[in-house]
Amino acid sequence: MDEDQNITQQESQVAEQKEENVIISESVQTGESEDVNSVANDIVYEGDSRNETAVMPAKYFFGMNMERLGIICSNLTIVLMSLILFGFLGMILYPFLIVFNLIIAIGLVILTLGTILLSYKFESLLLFKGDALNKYGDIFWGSFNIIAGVAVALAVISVIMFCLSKNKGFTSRIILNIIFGIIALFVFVIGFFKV
Amino acid sequence: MKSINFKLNKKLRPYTEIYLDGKLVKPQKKSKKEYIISHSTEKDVCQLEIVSFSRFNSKLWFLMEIFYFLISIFGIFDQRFEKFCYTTHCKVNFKLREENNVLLRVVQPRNNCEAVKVETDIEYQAVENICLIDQKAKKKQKFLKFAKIAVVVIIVAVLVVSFI
Repeated sequence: MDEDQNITQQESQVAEQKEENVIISESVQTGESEDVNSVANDIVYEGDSRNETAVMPAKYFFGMNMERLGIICSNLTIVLMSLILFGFLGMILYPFLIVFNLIIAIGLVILTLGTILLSYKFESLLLFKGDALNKYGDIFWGSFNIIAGVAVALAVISVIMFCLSKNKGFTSRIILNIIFGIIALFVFVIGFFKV
Repeated sequence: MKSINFKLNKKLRPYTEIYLDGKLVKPQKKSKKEYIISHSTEKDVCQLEIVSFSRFNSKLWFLMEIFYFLISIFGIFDQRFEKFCYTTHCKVNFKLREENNVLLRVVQPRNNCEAVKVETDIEYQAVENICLIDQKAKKKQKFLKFAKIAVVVIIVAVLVVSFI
């Protein structure tokens, strides 16, 4: 009997507590808690940037957005990465194209460094973002950086391969062409979807 | 002195400003998914305001768009336009205790929907918390889209004619 009484007492206490909570939340919803508002109304804002029509503050005069710049940079990197591979193909067939390839490689290194630096700041530069990034967390973080790193590595490899294939026969050059062609196509597809 | 800590689950969109008691504050990055704003005040109430702007509302927006159009090689490597140009209007008053922790969940923007979800055990009142489509910016964006297509068509036409 005592236990039953205790349980009913506890239940009534919980019900009372719930009722109180409901009253508090209702007052919050309907704006009855006047002291919250009255103090807040005294707040004076700095500068003139606060505006109901959301007019751009003076500091955004140019509307420069580093994140957007980074995205353009990363997209260019991926496409340049593909170009360097195609450049490599051209190099095998026409060795004098090495100058063209080296120019792209230098541009690629500069862009890659810029992208890596910017990608530490902006998540949108990553290849995997949104739900995928939240789901897999750190696994995919910096995946874009890895690709950019691979691009530099490929640039170096392409030069080495050029030196190696210089005196090779026609068949081996064709095989190398096919292998790098497939890789280039794959990278280009990734680049395309990233764009 | 009362302190209040705001935790944001992700980074806010570009051109977004946060005001605490009317003063501009910048969230500190703690980890990839955690941005923190700490604030101390002697008042009983703290007002948080989040305002976002569209990039088309800057004074030199057209010049900047031309700049981005050129460096992204005629817009090919540029980021896509937003489907809608949203602006955020969020103003929340918090009744402070000694220690206050607030989690602000930044949600996907939708027209006439909540801009930020507030999760806390302290008493608060949302004066305004809404995402709206900026019609002016949307018009500008539409104009830009057509202008970009026109420029690309002209360039292609010039190239074709010069080769012929």
